[in-house]
Amino acid sequence: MSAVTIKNLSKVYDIKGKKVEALKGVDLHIDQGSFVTIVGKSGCGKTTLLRVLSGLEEKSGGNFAFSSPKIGIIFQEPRLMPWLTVKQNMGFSLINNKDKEETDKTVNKYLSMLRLSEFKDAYPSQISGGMAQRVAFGRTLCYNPELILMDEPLGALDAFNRRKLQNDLIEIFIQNKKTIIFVTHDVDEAIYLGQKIVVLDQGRVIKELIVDMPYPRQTNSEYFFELREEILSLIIND
Amino acid sequence: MKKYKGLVIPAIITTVWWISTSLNLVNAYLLPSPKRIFDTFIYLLSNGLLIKHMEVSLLRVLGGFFITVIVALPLAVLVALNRKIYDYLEPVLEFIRHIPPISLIPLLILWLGIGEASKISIIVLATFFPVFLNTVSGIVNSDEKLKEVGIVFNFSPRDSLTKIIFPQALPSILVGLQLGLGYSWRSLIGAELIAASTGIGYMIIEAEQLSRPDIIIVGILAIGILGYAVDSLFLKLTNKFIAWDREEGDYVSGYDKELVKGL
Repeated sequence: MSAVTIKNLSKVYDIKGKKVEALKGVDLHIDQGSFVTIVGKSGCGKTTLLRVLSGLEEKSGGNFAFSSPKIGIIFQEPRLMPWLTVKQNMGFSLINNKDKEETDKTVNKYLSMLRLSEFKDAYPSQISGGMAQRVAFGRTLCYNPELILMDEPLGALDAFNRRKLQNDLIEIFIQNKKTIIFVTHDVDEAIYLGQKIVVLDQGRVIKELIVDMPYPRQTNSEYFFELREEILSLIIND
Repeated sequence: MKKYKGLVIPAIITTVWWISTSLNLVNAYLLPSPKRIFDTFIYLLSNGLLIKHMEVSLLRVLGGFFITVIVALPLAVLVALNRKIYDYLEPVLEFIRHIPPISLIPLLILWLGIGEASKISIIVLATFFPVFLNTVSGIVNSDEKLKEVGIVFNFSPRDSLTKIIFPQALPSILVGLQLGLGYSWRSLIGAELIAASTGIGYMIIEAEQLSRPDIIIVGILAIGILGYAVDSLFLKLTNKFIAWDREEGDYVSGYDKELVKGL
């Protein structure tokens, strides 16, 4: 079953009277419960695609449909509310939930899953960038969407934290059976995480690749190298 | 330790003052000795005069400030959320903003007499702008990126306002209120100096006419100390709401270092 169907989606920005085409007819099918990475260089339209899908930007043309209307998005920055503690931030989407006990249970579950229980009373200014991004993951998981859109969520982290959070994400994916669309400009990251890699260039899908490799993936395998070369040549050669 | 550091300069000033008055380096008529000031202070305290004037002034400040809050806050929220209204208001507000409230005292006395109404009007005029402008800027400048989080979670406009925009604007609003409190003291004493029959400003101007510099100095000290106390109390009361904004801290450093490394 498909979680997302995108047909001929386009987006034109009007920047000081000049038309800039960010998406030029994107066609894409994303299966329910799959982990898809979208890779491309800066300005290829990756972020625009996510912003249009999440409703933060209006589309200019074409169509898209979801199997479930509940969508979560994780941004490049954690975007935590600085006046709320880690725990309160995690439960932010459930703020109007009448059943406080249930909310508490949900939040505590993800606090421990993301190893954040120890820091539940800390404020965002008091924790590290990697921890803050894990809180943002937890906040979206508490919201419990069917589909999670991720806009380079690990882009601002150092290499060590990045690998740790990549593994966390795989764990989250396996345990929660969500559909994930993950945007990145890092080809290695796209291969490490995605079951399918969508290569985006100049607002168009230029290639879809299936990654036939079990988790956790060996980054030094022949297969990994070949995929990386293939993707890089697609992006660079145009 | 920080507390005591702040006392060093007042201690030096008092010592120099003390020495110069006891060695008769200054005219004791113009600058009475600290002991004389202290005696006058005790005298004014024991006959209840100082407390009476302080109470009157304090009540005026609180009354005027209260009116400002109930007028300026809602108006600021309205303006910040409907920028079109601001286009109508901006020239008028800019005009009024440049008029020192003290310059309106003669007119206010003609209209409202020398009673409470003219004093409170002065305070409202002096405190309106810091409260209004800080509230507007707090709301207008709230982070778009955090508002998007609300959109993604399907928040209603009301939720977005109360759960994201207001909490974020709170530090700015409180700074406006704190500034307003300070301004209200300055303008009130000005008003009391020009026309009043009670209040610390009146006590000071009466002492001038009686050639009593000791009472003037006690009055000045009383204004400063009372203002300081009100400000500290305000900070203490509001601190817990915006601890996240005022407190600099590293939560992680207070924890097990080994544990943190493993995260």
